[in-house]
Amino acid sequence: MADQLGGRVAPRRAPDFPREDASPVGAGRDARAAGTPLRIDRTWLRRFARRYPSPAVAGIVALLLILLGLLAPWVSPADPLRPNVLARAQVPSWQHWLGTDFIGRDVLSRIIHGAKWSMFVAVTSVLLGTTVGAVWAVASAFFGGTFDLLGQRLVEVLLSFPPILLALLLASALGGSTWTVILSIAATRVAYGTRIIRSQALAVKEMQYVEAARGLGSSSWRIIFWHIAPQCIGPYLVLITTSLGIAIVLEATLGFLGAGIPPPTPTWGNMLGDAASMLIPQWHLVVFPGAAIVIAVLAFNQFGDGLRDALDPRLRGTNL
Amino acid sequence: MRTYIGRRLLLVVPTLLGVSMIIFVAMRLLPGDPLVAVFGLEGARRLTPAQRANLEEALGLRDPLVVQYGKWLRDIGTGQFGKSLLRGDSVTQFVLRRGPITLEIAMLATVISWVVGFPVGIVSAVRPRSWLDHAGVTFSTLFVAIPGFWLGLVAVLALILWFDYKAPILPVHPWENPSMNLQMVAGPALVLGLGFGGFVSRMVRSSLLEVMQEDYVRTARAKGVREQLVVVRHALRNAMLPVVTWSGLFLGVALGGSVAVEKAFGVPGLGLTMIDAILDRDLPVVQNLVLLYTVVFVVINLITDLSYAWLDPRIRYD
Repeated sequence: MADQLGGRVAPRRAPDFPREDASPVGAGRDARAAGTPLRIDRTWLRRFARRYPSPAVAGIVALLLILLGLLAPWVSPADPLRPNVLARAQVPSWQHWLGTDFIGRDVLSRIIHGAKWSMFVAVTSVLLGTTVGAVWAVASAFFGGTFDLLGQRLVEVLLSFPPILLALLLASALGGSTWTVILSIAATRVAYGTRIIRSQALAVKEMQYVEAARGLGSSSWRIIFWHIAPQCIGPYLVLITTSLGIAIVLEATLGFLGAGIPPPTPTWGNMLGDAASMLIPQWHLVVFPGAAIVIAVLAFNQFGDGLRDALDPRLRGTNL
Repeated sequence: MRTYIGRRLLLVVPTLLGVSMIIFVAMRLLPGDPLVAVFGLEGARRLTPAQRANLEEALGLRDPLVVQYGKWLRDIGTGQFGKSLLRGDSVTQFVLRRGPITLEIAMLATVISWVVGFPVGIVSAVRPRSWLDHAGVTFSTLFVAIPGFWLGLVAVLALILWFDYKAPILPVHPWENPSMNLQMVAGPALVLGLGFGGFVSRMVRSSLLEVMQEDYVRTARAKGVREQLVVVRHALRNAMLPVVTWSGLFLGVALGGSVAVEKAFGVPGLGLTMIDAILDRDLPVVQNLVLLYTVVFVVINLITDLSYAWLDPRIRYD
């Protein structure tokens, strides 16, 4: 829910105890804004793992989840869509590790395939939404004027909706399919991307080297691509990783409310929606899909927090 | 300060107009036949083309979109929020009957988030890196990650298995039957409150850690003030400022968040009404309820920003 406060930047920024100046990984925004572009190589990764062990572990869990999703058809023990009349609503057993649902589909297989959908929707929608926001932000900051002014009003309009409400409204308006769900969730991400990246781009725009480039006769596009955009990559990456957990929850909520990817596609939200629609829900149908959501969100949130501290300590204490 | 308030208030008007346009366009895109909402699938199929034309005329669905939009704004201006296509109740009735439940849930959740979040955050910040701090951080990380509606489902499951719980059907107001009402709102409020509690404790912790490094805290310690007093009188007072003002936003978020949680508990609040209306294609209800939610959200955000600017003069001048 961290994002729902409107992507505002809290005026007080709090240094947690790994102090800002002590961070060996990336020396904060100022150093890079002075012209050192961000480079993530093997040394960087090793330092990150040593400095932020638990985010590193979370990152590995997140990667494993994505891998699980990619390999779903080969890893899952059974067909997630095939009902089995003889094995309806069974509790966990050696045959079906996490039990079966009310028409006898294997819950474990459905959760593994759910990982596929959940990861796919979360990653695509966050990439889409944040990228649109970022491009818009850089253009807005660079050109300024009426374009910037109108754009900022539009951002305010988008931020006036509680995110789940905007996603719900758009998902039902566009009709149920995977891509409409992705678009709806992406739409909730655009405004946050614009807000954060625009402030970064505005700061970079005033740097001396941008002025120098202009003095040398560089074109606007050259300045945007070679001098401003590279400095926005840090906040952009942080935004993406910290938004993934939110996107997973949004997708699951849409599925639970019956406005997500239409059944019988196995998504975690759909499974919870199915379970809740029964008069007396069975415990394993409620607990396991939810646990999958919590593990995924925890992994992405923890990794995102670590990455934020490493790349852009100034964003700490904002609602990213 | 006065110019700041004036500027912020002026900006609300175009924002809400934009919001209403997005809602309106989304409503017209909504697939499905609104007449199905009125007559059911069978009934709508049996209508003759002439009848259909008449009905659509009566509902104003035949007008050009601009006219429809204008009419909607006019109706809002004159306080007519339309009727449910499905039940014939007016939207105003819905809001009056079910709004209080949702409002209660949101407010109670905010209170719970403070009651839980403040102690946890303070203990964490006062003893950083102790096992208490680790426990506190674990608590907040966990509850920030758990989706409220799932926690609600688990709670309902436990209640059904052990206490023979049945989801309420009709809203009960606190002035009618306080104990029934409390039973109805306690679950959703607790679930939402714990989630925000995780967030509050995180904010309190980082805010307090920052303030504890200020010079005046060191001065207070150097004077020989007891550590407890230093924390409570000197540090906490300043650390609370961002948390309390930002908590205003929780109220708005709780309104949005309670949509799925109300569904999980089956509590007949405004959120549940809205979900059902969206699934039933009950256009007038969806249109006006979504607008109401955003208006409340915008107003709460505005109050929060203003109170912050009032409490912290540095904000006003940017």
